[in-house]
Amino acid sequence: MIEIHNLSKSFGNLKAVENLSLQVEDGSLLSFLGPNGAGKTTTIKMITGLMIPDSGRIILNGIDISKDPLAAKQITGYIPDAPNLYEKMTGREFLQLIGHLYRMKTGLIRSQIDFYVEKLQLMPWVNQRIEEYSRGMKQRIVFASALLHDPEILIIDEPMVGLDPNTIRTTKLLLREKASEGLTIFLSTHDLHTAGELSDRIIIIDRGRVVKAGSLSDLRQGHGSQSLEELYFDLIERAE
Amino acid sequence: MTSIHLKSDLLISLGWLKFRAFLTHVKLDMRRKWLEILVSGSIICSMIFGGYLLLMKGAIFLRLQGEIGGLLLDRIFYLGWSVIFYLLILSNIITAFSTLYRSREVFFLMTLPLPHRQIFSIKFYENLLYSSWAILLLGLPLTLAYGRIKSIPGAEIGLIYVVGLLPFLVISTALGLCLTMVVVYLSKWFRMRAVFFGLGLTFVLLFSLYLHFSQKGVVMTGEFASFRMLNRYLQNLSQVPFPLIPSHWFSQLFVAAAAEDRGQFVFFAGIMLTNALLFHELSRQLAGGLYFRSFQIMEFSGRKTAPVKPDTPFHFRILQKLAPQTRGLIQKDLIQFRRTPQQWIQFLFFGFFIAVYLINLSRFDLKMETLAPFWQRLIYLFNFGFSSFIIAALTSRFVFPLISLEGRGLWVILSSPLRIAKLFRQKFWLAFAVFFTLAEAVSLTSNLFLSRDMPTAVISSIMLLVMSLVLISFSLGFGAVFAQFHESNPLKISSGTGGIITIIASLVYVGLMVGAMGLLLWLIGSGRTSAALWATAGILAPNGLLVYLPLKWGLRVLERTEL
Repeated sequence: MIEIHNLSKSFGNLKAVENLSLQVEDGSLLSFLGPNGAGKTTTIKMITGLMIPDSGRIILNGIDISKDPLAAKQITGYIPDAPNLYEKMTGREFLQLIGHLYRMKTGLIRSQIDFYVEKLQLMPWVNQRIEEYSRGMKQRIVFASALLHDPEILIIDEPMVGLDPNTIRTTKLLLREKASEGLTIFLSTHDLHTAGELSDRIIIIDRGRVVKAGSLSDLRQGHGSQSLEELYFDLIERAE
Repeated sequence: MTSIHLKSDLLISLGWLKFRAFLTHVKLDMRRKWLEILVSGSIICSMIFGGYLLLMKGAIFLRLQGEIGGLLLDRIFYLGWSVIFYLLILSNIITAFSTLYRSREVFFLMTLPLPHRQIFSIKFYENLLYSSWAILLLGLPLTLAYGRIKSIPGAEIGLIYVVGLLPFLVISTALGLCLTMVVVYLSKWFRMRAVFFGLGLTFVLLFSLYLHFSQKGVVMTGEFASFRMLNRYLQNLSQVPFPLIPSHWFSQLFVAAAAEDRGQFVFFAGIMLTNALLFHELSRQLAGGLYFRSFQIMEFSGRKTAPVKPDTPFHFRILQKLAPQTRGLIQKDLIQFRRTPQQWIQFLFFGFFIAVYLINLSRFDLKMETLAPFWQRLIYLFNFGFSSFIIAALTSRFVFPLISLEGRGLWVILSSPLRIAKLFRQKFWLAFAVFFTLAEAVSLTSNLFLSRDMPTAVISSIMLLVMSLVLISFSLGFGAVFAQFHESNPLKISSGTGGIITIIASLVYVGLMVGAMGLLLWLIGSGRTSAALWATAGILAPNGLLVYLPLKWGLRVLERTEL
């Protein structure tokens, strides 16, 4: 479970995240929607320990990230918006590095790599250097790296950018499968269709504050038969 | 005609835009990092001034040795600029990979209605600037001290900079860029590593032939008693070793200015200027035919590197005993180093210089036991200084960029359950294992040639051990404080402000430690071995702080880094 209590972060005078509180239940998939500059990536960076909040608490499966960041990171997988990797390594070498960083046994690293190589169709490329990969291919390696150590929580920032339709389909299926296996997923996206299709709950934020939260049907209540896209623009306009 | 105007307008606009961007960057930096700039500026000025004073002392000492001193001084000046010339070519080659090819700006420029030769011209000056300024800064005290000792007025030194130094830089840049374009073009048929290896081998062969034919007789110190040998040595010194390289023309400008020989001055200035124009034009002509083609090969050839076999190679199997996180990080660093040509080419180049030094030392029959204790100490101190300089140069060049080279992939480390301190420890001990072994090997081998006694050899080994720890700590700590995560070129990282501060701090430290070693040698020479041991302990004690403080500072900055 992800619990966020009164989280705030400012950059100078700009309040990127303001008093944000939310909760993601075990095994559910939450979509975090919002326009550019809404504070999505800042929130994600604080959850993954890349950024220190000004105030507030983040608790991942009962572990307060400010008190025990290593234990919190051990149970978390992270997929950033830009797949910046160690370009000189091959995909396999990179996945081995991830296995070592998460202190996995050598045999387990090997079997997990084999599993994800097949699952994400990495085979023709996995022994080539990452610098030769397309963006989509890099994104697949990042997916494999985030899932390699069987995390309890998965944090994803804009997962579908640069992916071809085939990989998007594979990724969506994988995320649903993982959620049904009990993985808690926090997904930040611009893609309203993905959010509508995959999420158990949706949170819409703007300028660092929650505009609306709930399941898709909860959000639609009082808005007639609007599509998620119309609903989204309506809510953002009202917030402004 | 309109097209030509358009092209030159675009070129000027681009140049102006870059200059404005640079000024804005400097202005912003001045506001945000004024203290850092003030400190680094002061350190750079002190280094230039300190270097100048040190070189002046050395030059005055040589002058006092009579005719041989003057000749040695000229030869050292010439050799200094020869080394700078080769370093500049190498530095230009390494920088060219990121300015001529691996740059987003080049992709943009290629889409503009500009001839490729014009794009090359923009990149030519950019390359010249990036690759030259750090080396020039180090060469400045050398020219100032040499000019002063030769009583050349300041205005004339300024004139030499314009008519000599600028052409010197243009020639080395032109040669570096031409070589880069040829290497990239040849990589259409051969692997780039093979082309570089071939070029390196050719250079080593030519250099060996040059050493073989230019040194008619080596210095046999024991034979100085024979005036015939001394005369022959002096004759060799006064001969120009290789008159066709710019470093000779450049040093001759100083010689002509000192002798107030206007004719010679104009002659060598003319040679420098005409050659600079010639090489500049030659590189432009070559670029006309080769730049775009080599760009295509570099970026779009579709050629893949060979797939890497999934088996764990032997050199990684020996790391199996280490903790998984440490093992993973070491493997990553070694893989990245091996697959980055800018890294291993320059490492090999350093290796080549060290080998030349050791080969030359082995060829000299110095007959140390026949020399007066003062000369013995001086030669030994020089050798100790060389070994220390190697660690300082290697750590500033290779350890300083280590944290920056984590680059945009740093999120991998920071989001994983790894303590930043562990990352620091891994890099520290890996660098120590490599560079201490190298320095100790050079020191032991050279000591063997210099036949040193046991107490001196032991003390120098201990000193080198501690110095390695301090110098690595300087580079790693400052590397984290002045990290440039958006830069992927290790040469650019190490020649930035932080890199310059690191090399200066390292050289100042090496200077102090060589001075301390001089004191120890004097104590040993005068038979006070136990006093020497106490003095060693006294000298080494403050080094603990010098290891701890930079690491602590760097670690604190890195722990606060937010991506």
